[in-house]
Amino acid sequence: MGDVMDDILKIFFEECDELLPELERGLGELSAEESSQETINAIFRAVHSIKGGAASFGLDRLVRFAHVYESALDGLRSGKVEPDPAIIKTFFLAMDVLSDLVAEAKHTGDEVDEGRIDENVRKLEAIIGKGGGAPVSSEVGETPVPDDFTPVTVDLGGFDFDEPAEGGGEPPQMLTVTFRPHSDLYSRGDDARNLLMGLKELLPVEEAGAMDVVCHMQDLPALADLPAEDARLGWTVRLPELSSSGIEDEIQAVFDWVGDVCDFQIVRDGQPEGETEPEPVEDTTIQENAPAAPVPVEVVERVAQADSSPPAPAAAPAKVGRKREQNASIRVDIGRIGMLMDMVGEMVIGQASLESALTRDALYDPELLKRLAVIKTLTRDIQEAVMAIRAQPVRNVFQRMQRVVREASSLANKDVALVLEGEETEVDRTLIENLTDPLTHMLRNAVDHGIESPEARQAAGKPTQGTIWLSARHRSGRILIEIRDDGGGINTQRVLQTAIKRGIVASGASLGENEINELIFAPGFSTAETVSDLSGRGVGMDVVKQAIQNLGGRVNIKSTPGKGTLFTLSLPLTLAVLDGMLIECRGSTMVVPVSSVVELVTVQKKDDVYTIPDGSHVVSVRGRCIPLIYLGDELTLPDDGGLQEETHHMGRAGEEGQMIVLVVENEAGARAALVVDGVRDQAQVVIKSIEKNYRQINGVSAATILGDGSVSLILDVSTLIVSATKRVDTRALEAIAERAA
Amino acid sequence: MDLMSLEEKKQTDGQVDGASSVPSGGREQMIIFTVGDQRYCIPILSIKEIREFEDPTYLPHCPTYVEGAINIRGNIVTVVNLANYLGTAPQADNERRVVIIIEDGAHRATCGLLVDSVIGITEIALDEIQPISVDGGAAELSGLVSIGERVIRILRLDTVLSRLLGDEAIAAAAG
Repeated sequence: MGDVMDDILKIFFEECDELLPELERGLGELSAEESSQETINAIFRAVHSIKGGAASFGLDRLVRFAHVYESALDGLRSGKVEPDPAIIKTFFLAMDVLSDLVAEAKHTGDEVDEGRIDENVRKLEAIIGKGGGAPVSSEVGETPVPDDFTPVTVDLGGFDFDEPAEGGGEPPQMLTVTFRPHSDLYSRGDDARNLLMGLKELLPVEEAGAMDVVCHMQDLPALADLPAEDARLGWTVRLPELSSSGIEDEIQAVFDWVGDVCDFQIVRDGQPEGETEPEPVEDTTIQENAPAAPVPVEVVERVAQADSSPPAPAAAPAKVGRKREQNASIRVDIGRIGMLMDMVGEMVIGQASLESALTRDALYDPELLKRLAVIKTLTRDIQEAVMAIRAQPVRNVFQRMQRVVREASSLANKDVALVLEGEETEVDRTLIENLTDPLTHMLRNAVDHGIESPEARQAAGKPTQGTIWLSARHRSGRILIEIRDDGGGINTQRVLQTAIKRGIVASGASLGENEINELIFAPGFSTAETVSDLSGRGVGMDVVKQAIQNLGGRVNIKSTPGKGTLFTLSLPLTLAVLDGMLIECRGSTMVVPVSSVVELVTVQKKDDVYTIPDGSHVVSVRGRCIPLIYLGDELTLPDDGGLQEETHHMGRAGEEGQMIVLVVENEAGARAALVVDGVRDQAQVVIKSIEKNYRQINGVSAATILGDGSVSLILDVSTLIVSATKRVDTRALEAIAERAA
Repeated sequence: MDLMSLEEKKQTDGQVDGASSVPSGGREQMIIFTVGDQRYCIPILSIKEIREFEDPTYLPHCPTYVEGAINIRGNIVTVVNLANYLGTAPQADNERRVVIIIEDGAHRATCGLLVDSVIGITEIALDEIQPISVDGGAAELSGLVSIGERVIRILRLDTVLSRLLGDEAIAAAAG
């Protein structure tokens, strides 16, 4: 039982993770003045669903706050309150509190300060004027979840606070739907409530109050005689005939799934088509006749009353009858998709071996190969389709950034707006998860260092409100994320001075503008004169660059003094696949990420390789000395079996006095030359974790599976370079470079 | 299978080690295999599959008992050379070497054990297992059980896996 509750709770939190961004998006639209009633409804629905779910789990703090929030939003929904920037800001701040309360309930966040809640509650209450226009306020924290079986009278009528039903000119034609479910309907796990919800959803939100529901309980015996398995209840629903002529079809559709286990009838008012008038309505005060028995009890269906969106656990079946589903989606465990990916990968391998068998002389058959080509195309399509399942719009991360900027700007006493572009751009979810931290950091920096103080902006003739643009778009198989601000740009003089002060750059060095800009990515660099709450916390842009590089991406800066700064992140679309160069070394095939490869050169052993006093080697490539890494030795690759290979290699090297080196670069721009036996191919490889079943290996970041099904290691270029440069004294390098020049 | 009959004979003899601290009554199916000239066993439920030995990919800086990594339907699985791991000499020129793929629930990890041959399946009464004190340095084994004249060692799989997964895992398991 505990587990089941835990699972449901998990689902609730997952839904919160979806609802909060939805709320944020809605508020964003509201502030951009592109809102419609639908937007406001969506906002309301999000808060309401969180409240409803939280109530089921007894998350009181969350429920209380969500309730106040909901009441305030209701003012907006009913048109009593006009959204002005101040109100929207209050809603945004309240959203932050709400999301923190969710985090608190999830135990992923700190406990939310009571004072902060109170302050936000006060502000929210001020919007609607305390007490006014909040018809739901009497139900705070009520959780009508009966433990035992209780017949319930569902009253979906009588809550026309949205818009008085009499608003329409002439009285609308009424349709009467009478239905009575069989017990089979319940044994299928369905519920009459779902049918009622389905009917209600046929009506536009502002008309929802015009639906009248009566429950027939005349067949209900006293509790003592009640057979628990029997279905005794029926309902009559009267709803206005709407302009849409297809309403009867839509009603029919609500009952589509239950037609065999539920009697139902649709009667139009004034039409004698129905053989009988709906059964005389039994007064719901029947409970007075039931002596001593505490049932039936009249309970107002709170959920159905306030909104069309049911609480979390009941969400799925209630959607059956809904035709206007915007984004039909299912929740799938990520592990299953991973499995699918693995199997598609295996399929590609199987196909490759089939192909190589078919191209062998004995089996060569052009006809078969042609057919195989068709299957290959299909496989590729399947692979892409599977990747697409994992793809998600960057919106989720981007919208989180709104809050980052909001908080950062209020801490820095600056007025900054964040403009999002291309939020629909899709990338693999692994990437999305890893983007949050670097983006958060960069945006904080943009607010703190990029945007000037309002006074300075005014003096420079700019609007006092600073703007940061965050955009995403696809470009040639990669995703390009740009962070642009209209601040003062990078003060190159100050950056250079700081760099000299911190010993990052030798004094007297002359650097180009780009080189200076690159300095802000150097470890230990910070120009912040005062350590603010925002920056100077010990993590710098080097961490950002590292993180981006770990994702297989690159960062570029462009800065125009007085105009602003532009950071461009170029990232792969997925972390599951990597562009790799397949290299050979002592008979092993290994993969080097193409993103870290600078060039492939053949060097003369005699002329280009120098031994430095500590016994290590450097190679001179066009006058630049680069530490040499003998990959086979570095990775302790065994010589056995590769003996023939080795002698062949030695022979070749001896004959021609040459060797192949792959010049690689790490994020800090440090280079090393890997001595390899050869380069075999360039290919996209699927990244597989080694650490799942083994420890971390120095110099190896992951593994992949080659076309022949064998395991191949993906080299971790940065750790290889670090281990090489640690050995090679940089001063010695300079001396050699001089000599070489 | 001769093992089963041996075991049955022993059961009819009614020899039960009364001093054992293991709760009585439980029985467990074990798979028996050889490494060098010794016999070992592991619970059959921990085994995912048994496959032929294929050349694995060498893992840099690996301990001597790690043979390398192989691909099992898209998963990278490390193969442990049990002879090296247990410090015994493997059988020379053995063509029948197989890899037993095991999965350990506690670590949620998978690895392959390279053994000389698989002999068969037997059922062992848990109270016949003579535990081995870990202090004696035999963390590789969890106990001994004798079937007929032969003593069979019970391999501790969690030790194998925590060693593979690295030092932190060992520390965590020990602490």
